[in-house]
Parts: sequence; structure tokens; C-alpha cells
Amino acid sequence: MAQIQRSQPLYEQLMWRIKAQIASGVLHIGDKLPSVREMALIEGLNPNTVAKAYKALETQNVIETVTGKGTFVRENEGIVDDKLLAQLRLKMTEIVIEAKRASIDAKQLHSWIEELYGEIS
Amino acid sequence: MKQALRLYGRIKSNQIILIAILGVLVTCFIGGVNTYYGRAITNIGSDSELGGVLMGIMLIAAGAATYADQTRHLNTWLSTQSASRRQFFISKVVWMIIAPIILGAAIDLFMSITIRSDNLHKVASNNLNDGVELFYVASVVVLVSTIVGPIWQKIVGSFFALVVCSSLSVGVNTISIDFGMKELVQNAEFTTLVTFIVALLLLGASYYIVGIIGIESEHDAVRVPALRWPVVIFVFISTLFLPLNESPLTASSFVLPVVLSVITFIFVFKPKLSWQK
Amino acid sequence: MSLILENISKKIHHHAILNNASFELKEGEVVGLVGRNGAGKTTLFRTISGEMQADFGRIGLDNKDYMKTIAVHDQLFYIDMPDNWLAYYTPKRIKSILSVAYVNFDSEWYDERLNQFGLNNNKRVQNYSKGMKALFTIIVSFASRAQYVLLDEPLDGLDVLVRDQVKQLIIDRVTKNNTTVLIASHNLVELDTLVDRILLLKDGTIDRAFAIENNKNIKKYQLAYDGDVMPEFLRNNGTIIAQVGHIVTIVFDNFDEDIGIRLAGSDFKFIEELPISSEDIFRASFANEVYAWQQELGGEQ
Repeated sequence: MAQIQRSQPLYEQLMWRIKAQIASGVLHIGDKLPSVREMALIEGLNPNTVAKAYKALETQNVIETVTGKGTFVRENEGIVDDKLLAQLRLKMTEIVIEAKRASIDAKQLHSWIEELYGEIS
Repeated sequence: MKQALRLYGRIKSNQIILIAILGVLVTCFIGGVNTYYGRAITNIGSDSELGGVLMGIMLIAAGAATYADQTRHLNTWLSTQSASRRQFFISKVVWMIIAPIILGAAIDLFMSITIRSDNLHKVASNNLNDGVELFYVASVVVLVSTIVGPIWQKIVGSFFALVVCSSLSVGVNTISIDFGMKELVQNAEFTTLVTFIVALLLLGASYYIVGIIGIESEHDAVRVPALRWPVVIFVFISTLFLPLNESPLTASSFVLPVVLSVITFIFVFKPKLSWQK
Repeated sequence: MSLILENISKKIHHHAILNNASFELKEGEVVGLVGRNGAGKTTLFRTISGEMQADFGRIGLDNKDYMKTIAVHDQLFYIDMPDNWLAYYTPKRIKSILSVAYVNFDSEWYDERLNQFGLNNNKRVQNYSKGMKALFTIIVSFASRAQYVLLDEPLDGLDVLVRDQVKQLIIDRVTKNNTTVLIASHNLVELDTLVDRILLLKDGTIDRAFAIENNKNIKKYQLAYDGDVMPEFLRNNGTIIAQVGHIVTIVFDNFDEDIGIRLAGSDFKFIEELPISSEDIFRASFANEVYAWQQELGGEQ
């Protein structure tokens, strides 16, 4: 029996790209994001997809929209929701499965995680 | 209405100015010729008929200026604007018919005043008559142009209609004299008034039609479906009866009417002829 | 201020081109109008703008009858490019004319844009290149400051750079002035990055309206079937977009649990759900036609 695979929805992919930009310092706190329509052109996505991504990021308190001014990157208040935690755990599961297959032990993974925490602001 | 006048005037401003300049140039040319040769050589002197000639020339130029309104889809765009088609119709009549006529008369009067002609009253009256005559001719052309779609057919139709109208007026005059209305018919003011009223009626008909036709009929010979048969019948009857002024009704007098009517019928109804398959 | 079309019908020479077309446009929306060639998109634009009179139906602008209230006609801009009177004038003259036609005409913005794109103010528009004509059409459309702008194939035949500039102009004006834009186009891929939703004109009416992210029942899959013959239920329930050997790309227009269960069954070795685009939905809307030409091309594989 085949299992239906789903690649990550486009809006989620955009969300992760924006978060990655924030994490790597390309976007700073207080930076203004492109408008929904501009982002749609830049990313080659539909405006509704971008709107969905922005909305979700707002719910996660990563960005905030000020009426009349635009959408800005928020300070990281460290508020995490359950859904996000579940997603993180799922991703970790995938990583651990792959690592085990490649005979990489937990200690190696730990040291990588430490390194990354240091590199990413 | 103000919007229609302003907008159409603005779009055509270059052409309107050119038409006015044309009037002035023609005046200078005629004045020059007259001075050079002496008054008698040309029939047109500064105190008679100059106005009529100017009006005629400027009206023809105005006609040329409006022909492109259809081919360049200006009319189409105007029908989307904040003035109605009928308002734009009046606007065109004002800028392209009334303005040249008034300007022609004004130039003539001005010239007459400058050369200190004694006959200002006659000049004014001539201009009034010429003006009304040309206004009437223009109204016939406008009506035909409104009903007929393709440009070349408008021109052919206008010529035909004008020929019919002039025969008609000769016929009307003759009949009136027979009925003992001789004095009335030969009264210039009366005929001018009648001509003016007929012109207004024809323009009124065009005004009405302009509001009911759309761009989908631009290429139709007769743009108002209800007028298709009337046009064919009109061609038949006019070519049949009008020559009756001069010659009696015989079998051969049916030939031309039938031929012209059939040709008109084909253009108007575009029947699918069997050999075209 | 909404623009509402109700039951617009139009016959041209006895052919019904529009047949009860209805839809609503709100402020600040970018909406796409798609349909097959000859479906009536241009006729629809001409009927909305007033070039043609609808045989039947109503157009409401801000609760006024648009067809009868000619004073509000400066709230809508539509120019039948390329075949129109504008081509014979220079941008300078056009500015002078449109300032009279459109009471809010933005002359400053107009001049700035002409400058920005290097468009010659004293050259007749007909002598512009195709790309410059397209740019000019967009500039003049938005300079009118009309609330509703109708664009007929604005990106047609333009090179990539000009297309980007045109798209940028459109979203800039929509964002700043809350203009509503209705774009008729064949290029659904590009439309997808611009529009909030798409109206499909089919058989003279708005057959369906769709928006990316708002289609719970439309799904696209790439799958590999087991065995020699493609399962019948695929063709009966969906539109096949591509097929190479045993691998099929298919769009289901009315996806339900039953289909889901069958897909998870033993007929299929591999199934992946793909993101759906407007082109996919367009194809699914013409499932019969797609099936017919696939048959013509050589029957089942």
C-alpha cells in the first residue's frame, strides 16, 4: 500500500525561509518585510499564499503588522506554541532516523547542535 | 454637456485650429487674387458670397477631420466616457458644423466692415442664407453617416441623398407654384426658415439614432435594423420618381431604380449568394 | 465601492457571447479573467466599459446603475489597445486630453513614470516599440486614478524585463491607491503571482471563480500505478495533465474521501501531492476538452 506523500505546503516553505533569514541575520528585528503583493512577485507565489504565511508568522509572534505602515520583524519573545513544538519534534525525528541510518551517533548530533546555536543569532 | 464640449474640443483642438487657419488663408488668397486681378475677375467679392465659400471649405475640412473618429475608434472610446453618445453628437455638431459656419460668416462680415462696404445688410443676409443652406446639407450628410456604417458607403450614400434632396426641393418648388403658393415659395426668408427647420429635424433624427446604435454595427451598411428595408425602398422610389420631373413614366425608367435597389439590397442584407460557397 | 455585474447578457449578430455573467469586484482587489480564445473576455470588457450596451443585466458601481449614471464613468478606465485613437497622439497631448476626461488625473505621477521609463513625450505612441506601448498603457491606465482599471492582456508579447516592470507598476498602484484591477490574460502562470482570485469565463458566463489556497476539493497528484493498464477511476474522476509510462500527473476537481481511499490502495506504487496552480484548475475545468484531444493524439497508453 502506498502512502500519500505531501511535500511541505508552499506557505510553510515561505515561513521557514523568512525564519531562516531572521535566524541568519539577513533580516533584523524591526526590519520591514515586503508587502504581501511584493513578496508574491519576489517569491513567484500567489498573494493568498503569502498572506497565509504572514498570518501564521503573526500568530507565532515572529512578525507583526502595523496598519498603514507595514509588516515588521518582531523581537524574539520566546513564546512558542504547541503546534510549533510538535513540528520541531517531527523534524528532529526525521533527522535522527537519517542519522541512525548513516551510523551517526547521538554525541555527534549534540555537538552539531551546539555549533549551530553558536553560529545562528 | 459641458464635459462633452470640453473633451471633444480638447481632442480635436489641433484640427479645429487648422480649420480656422484654413478659413483665414482662403480669405487671404481670395483677397490677394482679387487685388491682383481687380475685383471683376473672380465672382467672389468681399461683399458677396465670400462667407458661403469659406463655410463650404471649412465644412469639408471638418468632415475630413471627423472621418477618422470611427476608423481610429475614437467614437468607441468616447462612448465609455462621462458624457453620453448623444451629448458627444451635439458637441460634434457644435465644433464641426456650427463653428465653421459662424466663423465663415464672421470673417466675411469682418472683411466687409474693413473695406467699408455699404451693403452690410446684404452681406449679413447672404451669410444667413448660405449658412442655413450649408447647415441643411450638413444635416443630410450627418444623417446618412449616422445610419450607414462603412466610410466609403457613407460618402456614396451622402452624394446620393444630396442629389435626391436637391431634386426634391426643385419638385417641391414646382408643385407649390402649381398650387398657387408662388409668393410664399419665392420668399427667401420663408424658404430659409423651412430649410432650417428641416435641417433641425434631420439632426434630431440623427441625435436619436446615435443613442441606440453600438460598435457591433460599425461595419453594417445600415446600422439600424429597422431601417434596412426603408433604405432599399427609398433608393428604389427616389430613383424612380424624381426623374419624373423631366420625363414621363415608361418601362425603361424602371431599369435604373431596379438595378440600384438590388445593389443596395445586396450591400444592406448581405444575402449568402450560392456561388460564394 | 464595489463594481457588481448582474446577469449581463450580450448577443452579437445573433450569437450569444455573454449569457448571464455575474461577479463582484471590491476595492483594492486584483482579479484575473481567463477563458479559452474567443470566450468573450474582450466583449465582456467592452460591455462593462460602455462601448457596447448589454442586451440584458445590470452593472452597479457603488450602488448606482453604471450604465445609466454616466457621471461616474471616470471611475473606470479601459482602453482597447492596440487599436485605438491614443496611438495617433503624443503622451503630452494625451495627458492634456485625459486630464479633461478624468477629473483626478495624476499628471505628476504620469510625467515621473514617462521619465523613469525613458518614454519620449513628443513621439506618437504608435511609433513606440511593443514593450513601450505596453508600459505606456499601464501608466496611462493608472494615471487616470480611476477606481477600476480593466487590462486586456497587459503582458502579452513582452520581454522578461518589461514584464517585471509592468507587474511592479500594477502592484505598486494597487497598494498605494487601493485601485481594483481586472486583468484578462492567457498566462495563468504569471497571473498567479498577481491575482487574489481568478474568474473563468466559459459558455458566456462566469463558470467558476477560484483562488489559490482556498480550494479544499481540488487536489493534484503525481502517482505511479501498478499493472499494465491505468486504473479507469483516474480518468473518470480527474483530469490527466501528463503521463509518462506508468507515471501520471492528475488533477481531481472534486476530491473526496473515496478517491483518497482508492489512491491509498494497492493500485498505486507511489503517490505525491503537489501544490496546485491556476493552470491546473483551468485544465480541470475543461476536462472533457482535454480528454478529447488526448484521445485524438493517440488514444490510451
